[in-house]
Amino acid sequence: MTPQLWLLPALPFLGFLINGALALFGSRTEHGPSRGLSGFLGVLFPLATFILVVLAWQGLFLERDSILRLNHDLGLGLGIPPVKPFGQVLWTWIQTGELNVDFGFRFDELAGIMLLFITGIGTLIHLYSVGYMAHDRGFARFMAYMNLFLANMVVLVLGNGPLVTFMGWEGVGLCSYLLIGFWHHDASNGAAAKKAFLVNRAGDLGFLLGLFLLWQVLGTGTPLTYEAIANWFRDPAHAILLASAPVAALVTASTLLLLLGATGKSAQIPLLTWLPDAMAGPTPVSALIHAATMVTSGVFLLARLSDVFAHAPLTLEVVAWIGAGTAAWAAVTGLVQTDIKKILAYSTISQLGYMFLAAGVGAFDAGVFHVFTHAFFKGVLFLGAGSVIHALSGEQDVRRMGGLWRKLPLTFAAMFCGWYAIVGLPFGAGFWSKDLILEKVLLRGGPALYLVALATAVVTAVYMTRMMILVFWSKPRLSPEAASHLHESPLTMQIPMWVLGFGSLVAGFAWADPFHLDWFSRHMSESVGPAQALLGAGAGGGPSAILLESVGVVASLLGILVAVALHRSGKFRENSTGPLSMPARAWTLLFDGIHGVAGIWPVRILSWILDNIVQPLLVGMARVFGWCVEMAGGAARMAQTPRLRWNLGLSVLGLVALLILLARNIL
Amino acid sequence: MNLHLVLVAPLAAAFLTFFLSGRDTVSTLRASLFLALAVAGFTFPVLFAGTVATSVHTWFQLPVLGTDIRWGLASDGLSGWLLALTSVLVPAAILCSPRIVGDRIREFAAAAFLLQATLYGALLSVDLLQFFAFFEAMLLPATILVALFGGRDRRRAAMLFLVFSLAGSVPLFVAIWYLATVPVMSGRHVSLDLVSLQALVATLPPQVRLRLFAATALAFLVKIPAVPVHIWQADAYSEGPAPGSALLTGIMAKIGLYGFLRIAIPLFPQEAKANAGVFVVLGLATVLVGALLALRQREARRVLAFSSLSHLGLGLAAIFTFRPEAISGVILLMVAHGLSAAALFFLAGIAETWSGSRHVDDFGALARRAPLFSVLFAVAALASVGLPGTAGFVAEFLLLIALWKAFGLLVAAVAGTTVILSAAYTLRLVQKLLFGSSAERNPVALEFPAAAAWAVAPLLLALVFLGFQPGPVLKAARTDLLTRLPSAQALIVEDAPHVAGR
Amino acid sequence: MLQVADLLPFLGPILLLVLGALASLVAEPLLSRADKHRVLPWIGIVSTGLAAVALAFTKSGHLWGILAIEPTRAGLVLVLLAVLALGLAALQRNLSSDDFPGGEPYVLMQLAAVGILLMVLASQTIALFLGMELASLSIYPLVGCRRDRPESAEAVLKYFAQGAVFSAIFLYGAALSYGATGTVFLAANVLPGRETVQLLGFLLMAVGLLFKIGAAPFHFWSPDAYAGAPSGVTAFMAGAVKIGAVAALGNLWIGHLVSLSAFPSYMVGEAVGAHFPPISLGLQVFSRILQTIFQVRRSLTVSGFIGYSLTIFGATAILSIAIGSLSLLGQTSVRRLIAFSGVANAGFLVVGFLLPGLFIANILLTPTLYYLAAYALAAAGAMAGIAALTGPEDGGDHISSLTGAARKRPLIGLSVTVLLASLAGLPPTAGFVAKFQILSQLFLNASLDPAILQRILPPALQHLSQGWFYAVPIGAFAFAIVAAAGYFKLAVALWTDPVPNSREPEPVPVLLGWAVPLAALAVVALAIFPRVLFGG
Repeated sequence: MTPQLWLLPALPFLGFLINGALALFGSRTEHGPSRGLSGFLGVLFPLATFILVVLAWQGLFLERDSILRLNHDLGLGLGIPPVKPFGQVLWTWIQTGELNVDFGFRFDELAGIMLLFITGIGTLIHLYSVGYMAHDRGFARFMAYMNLFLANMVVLVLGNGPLVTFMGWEGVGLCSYLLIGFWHHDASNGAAAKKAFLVNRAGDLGFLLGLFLLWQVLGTGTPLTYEAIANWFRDPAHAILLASAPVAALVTASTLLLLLGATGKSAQIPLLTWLPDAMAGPTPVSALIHAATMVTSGVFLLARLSDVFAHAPLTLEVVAWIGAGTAAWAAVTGLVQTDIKKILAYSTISQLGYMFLAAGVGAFDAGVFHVFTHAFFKGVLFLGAGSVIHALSGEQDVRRMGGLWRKLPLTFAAMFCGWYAIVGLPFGAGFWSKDLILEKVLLRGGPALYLVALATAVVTAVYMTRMMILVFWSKPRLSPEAASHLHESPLTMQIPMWVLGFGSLVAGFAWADPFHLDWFSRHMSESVGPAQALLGAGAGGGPSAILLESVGVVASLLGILVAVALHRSGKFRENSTGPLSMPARAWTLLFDGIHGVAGIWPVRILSWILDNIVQPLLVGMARVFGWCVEMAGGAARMAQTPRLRWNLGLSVLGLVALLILLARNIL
Repeated sequence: MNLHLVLVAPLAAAFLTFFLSGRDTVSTLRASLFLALAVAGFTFPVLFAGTVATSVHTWFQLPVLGTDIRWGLASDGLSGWLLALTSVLVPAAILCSPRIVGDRIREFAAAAFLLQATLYGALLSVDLLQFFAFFEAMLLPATILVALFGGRDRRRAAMLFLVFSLAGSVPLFVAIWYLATVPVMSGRHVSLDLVSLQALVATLPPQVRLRLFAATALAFLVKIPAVPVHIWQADAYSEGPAPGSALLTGIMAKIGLYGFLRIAIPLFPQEAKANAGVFVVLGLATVLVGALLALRQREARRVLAFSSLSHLGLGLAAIFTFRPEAISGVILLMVAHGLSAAALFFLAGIAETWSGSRHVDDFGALARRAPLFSVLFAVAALASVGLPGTAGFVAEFLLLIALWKAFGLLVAAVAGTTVILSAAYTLRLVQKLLFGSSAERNPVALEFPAAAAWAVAPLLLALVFLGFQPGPVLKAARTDLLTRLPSAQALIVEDAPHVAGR
Repeated sequence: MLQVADLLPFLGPILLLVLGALASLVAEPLLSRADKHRVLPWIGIVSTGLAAVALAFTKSGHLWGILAIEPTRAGLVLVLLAVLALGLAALQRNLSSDDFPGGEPYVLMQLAAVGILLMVLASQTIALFLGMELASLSIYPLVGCRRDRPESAEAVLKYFAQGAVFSAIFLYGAALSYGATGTVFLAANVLPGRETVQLLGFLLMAVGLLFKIGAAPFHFWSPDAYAGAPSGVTAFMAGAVKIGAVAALGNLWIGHLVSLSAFPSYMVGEAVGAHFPPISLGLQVFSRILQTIFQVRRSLTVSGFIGYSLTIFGATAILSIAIGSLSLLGQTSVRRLIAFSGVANAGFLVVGFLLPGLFIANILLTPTLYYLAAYALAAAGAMAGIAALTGPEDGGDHISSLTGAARKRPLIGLSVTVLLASLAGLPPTAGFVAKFQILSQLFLNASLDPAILQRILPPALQHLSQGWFYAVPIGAFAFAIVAAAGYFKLAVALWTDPVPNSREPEPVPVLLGWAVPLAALAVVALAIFPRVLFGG
């Protein structure tokens, strides 16, 4: 079957339109628009999209998939059919001069995998929101935004070229803005939303400029599609050209700028300050946008343009160190947070750091694999956190929780799976992906990066365990009113948690080399294979995978033990409430400070000067000139005396003056 | 397709409005709206007709000298789109006016029609003096719009606007005097229609050409306006009635850019080329100054005014790259900005009628109190920010590409800061207006006039459509504009013809 | 010999106007107080209309060289008739709303028009003076027709006193010119060795006419006279007097040029009735003048005369434009505003005599005359319109009292706005085209051959760099903008919200209701078809 790709973004967009209309015209009614209807539609459209994605995947890749598996399992030498990514050009978008951009979609395996979990998990989280937001006045509006987000995310992933991707890129940014500021009666939420949008815009500017340079490398003849870009870079004929210093520099500059865009979207150094604030949004939003899908699009971009990045070793170096640095910094920050969602937010940043690290060492597939697993376990962690907050009617401070595993067993079970996966205990999703990354890092990134990553793994285990202890195991510290109506969350919220929890246990088996499961890597090969081959990714060697994995496990166990020990010694200061301690806050706000000095204040000062000095000066000059003319007018009016004798006198005087003037040159 | 009909249509409309009842608001609104739509009906065929022209004949001759002043009308893609834009914005403005101009819809409509007529004239003129006549005539209705329907300080604002614009047009007038008379001394027959002027100007001594170019450019810089001659703008836009300001920024300001594309550059190609740097710097300065000032304004419409300044500055800078992307992009920018800025001004005007104040802090929580309004406002704001999917994005993208190709990445980056800054000040406005809590104010739902919705929604739809399908505008620019700018054609920098690859 | 039958078509307009005036005079005592204002204006209008019709049938010609008419003059006369109509219409509004006892003002206005008509046609000093005095003597009482008002008395006193002085000056100049040429014709050869006398005579006559035009520094009478007179009379004066004076000045100037530059065809024979073409305002004097400048024999006189007139007219023009524009900027009295606008525009009119076309091709006064027509229609129309908008007793002389007047009468308000725009020189009105023509040609002065300038410029100015000649038109235009700011205040006042408790003005008489919009229409039409009046 040939899928109609345009349906994929169109369906959720339709959902957005309908729900939006409901929200708009139902807003005047007593109870707002019907929750049942908008909830149903809000879930229906993502579900339909998910089904379409699955069908498309089947239609396009299943056959090849099965043949490959047969070859693999039975050692048959069947002829492997070529990959057939399915492209669809909808219309010519921009055409002027030598610029020619088509608006089209491209469904290849990378896009397919991304879409599978985006729409799948997306659907689940939509379902979850039905329960979570049930009592909110703006329910329909929420559903509309979520659907719009899904549509944009699909465009981002499905775009056949950087510009189409950019449309989705900014679109998800918009939705993130709308959803962070969803409860807009509180101005601080609005501020957080604005911050997110602006920081992302800074990245987007980098994206655009990087795109220009990339275009310059390609030569204006080449159309701006991923296919053309990939082919151009894979074309051996261009190898020499790419080797030449100017072009190499151009590629490096372009990739660095594109990287800026990626860091903006994926909350990496330097553009990471917005994600923690983004937790102001409802928890499903944090789960879907700020954990599972949108924030990973930076990694997706790196994988998409892997062929380009492969030719910019310097950039890859930078990517790796940015990833490692971010991972470490965020993990440490996660240690000192007291807001359950903030903890998870910094954990997300840290995990994204892992993904960048992987990409930086040229293991794009590993990076995307971590995106895949992370979507499951971070999703369930956030959903669980939401369920806890929901149960405690809005309480988010982990220091006011504890002992909840008895009260909320189901939530606890789900979150436990997530915790199990993220700390990287054997056979959990995180175990496979994280250890894969560690392995690649050691192989290609060198020991320094590896040690940072390993240490981060330890710290990760510490803060995650700390969170679990404070929330579920330690003795209850609930505020009475929270304790009073403590209740397990409804089924609509439970089902997604179970599914994701289960997923976070098993998702890792999509790529488990020891069991010769390589479904994932097989499907990544078409997109990122050449790039990794170029970077010598295939080269194995080094210590055995088993050894490395056991090291990873040891690291996480160590972290857990440390956490337990710290808890025993009461280091977590469970009872003390109030703001963070000074050093902790300073560390947390490190990058906000940098932004302020580097960007915000200069702009403010400049605009102050313009507004209070330059502008008034210009206006003043105009005014002064006006006054001068007015005064001249006054003088002229004064010359018009009411006295007859003066009038006559002046007139005759004028006559005499003329006579004299003429006499001088005529007579 | 007789263009004179198009030119006369708004005049006739203006004349007819005087026979409407000044008392009965509703019927006056209906009738003038009908007239506006009729005018639009006359206008759109021109757009679809592509390049059309009437015969050109002598308007009058200078006595003794025998200089030919011609009269003729011609329209191409550039003019056509601006005409269409005008014909769309005028009915929208009339629809939005009742709340603001009260019982004076008749006068407002008449002024709007007169402004429309003069704009049409300027856009259709083929003769330099003919253009200048309409260029000046524009001031009359524009000033009336500001001076009669505006706010407290409207008189001063209108006076500033009038005197500033008149003074700004002096250099152009002087240049016309020179062109019309001095060459006659060397015994040649002069006629002021643009085509023959191109030939004439080419023969003038370089330093004279340079002066003439500077004079011409100055007049248009004041119109756009560009830094540092922009000081009339903020007052005029914020003191004038919101729908009027929408017309001023939506269309009248565009005449400045139009003048560059149609007159300054084609007549003085070498000078334009040689001094491109100056204008790019001016343009970028305008972009930055406008954006930075917009960040600090306390009145909604002042924010919008400076945002217009910033956006059009980008257009000015881009024109002087003489790249095809730039020319297509500028025309798209004019259309996109015309639509989005006008929509924002319309809505801001409505909001002012609610809060009874222009101060941003006096709005708030409109998202709760007027949902439909908020949706429209948000969409318009996003369009003006240049979000992909709206025409503004394509335009800004093209202009940035042109700047980058012509002047390198750094210039493009400086211009690109508008991507961030525009988001900053626009979102600030959005937040002040729509968000926040309405605890202290009465949280009753506000009644958003359906007429305004009907006026704004089509503009936004057009923006989105052009965002996905800008083809027609871009094509118009590529094909038609250059046909009437033979000497500018030489300027257009083409790279290697590109292989249309899929 | 000319037959009366030949004279009739030539004198038709004059006779019809006179007849109209006499008819009104006869009818006046027979009519009731109210009917006077209902009937008399119509008599005037009818006779004016008939005169206009007759004008269509007049053929070019002259009356023994005393009066001459040709298409250009005919065009001026047409404008004059239009102004008269406007004046009558406005006057009817004034007098009827004041319930003025007696209808003689109508008669006087028509007689004044006859006088001005004579000024336009005169090609000979005596006829010119007669026309001038006829006009003046009927305008003095018009200005002061409201005897009960102090400002009227003041106005008429000042106007009369100064007018008398300058009439004398004109008369003295005419006498000198007679002494220099031996004829009273405006174009006459100078008797040998009397060039100086001739030039002096020219100066004095020119000053006498500049006084009528109201150019600085001979303008002091106009603000007071305008302010004291009923608005209808102001309208008439603003337009008509300038028409007469500028036409006469043009005659005088061209006459001297042609006579001094020795064109045999313009030798003026003593023998009355001898066949010679009269001076034509539309005359194109050929550039042989240029050559004659360089001929030794008469060069001093001609080049001297040109430099001479450049000095006179240049000084007065610059002075008038500056003073007029600046003083009307802050005016709060509508009539004074119009008066100073008259001064400023007088300056632009006089600029027409600086046009250098002379040095490159032909002299043609068409730009000046076009400006004159545009100005006369605009000024008279605007003033008439204001008469329509103000209440009885001309209550609305202060700008603030006109607030919102246009809102009550949109059509007249719009017309007044357009007419004001024309005064300010904004398109789409004749004022714009007129200013463009005059200033752009003046612009040429700067590109004159320095050798020529050497010869024509007074020594005082000869060291000026040519840049200064650019400065004159640019400066003039700058002042025009200042003036525009002044008109703008009035226009805005007309359109702003009326004061709530302002009483409804009584209905505008049908005559005025039509006259003002028609004037506005004419001003726009003149812009679109600038050549209907004077060809070209």
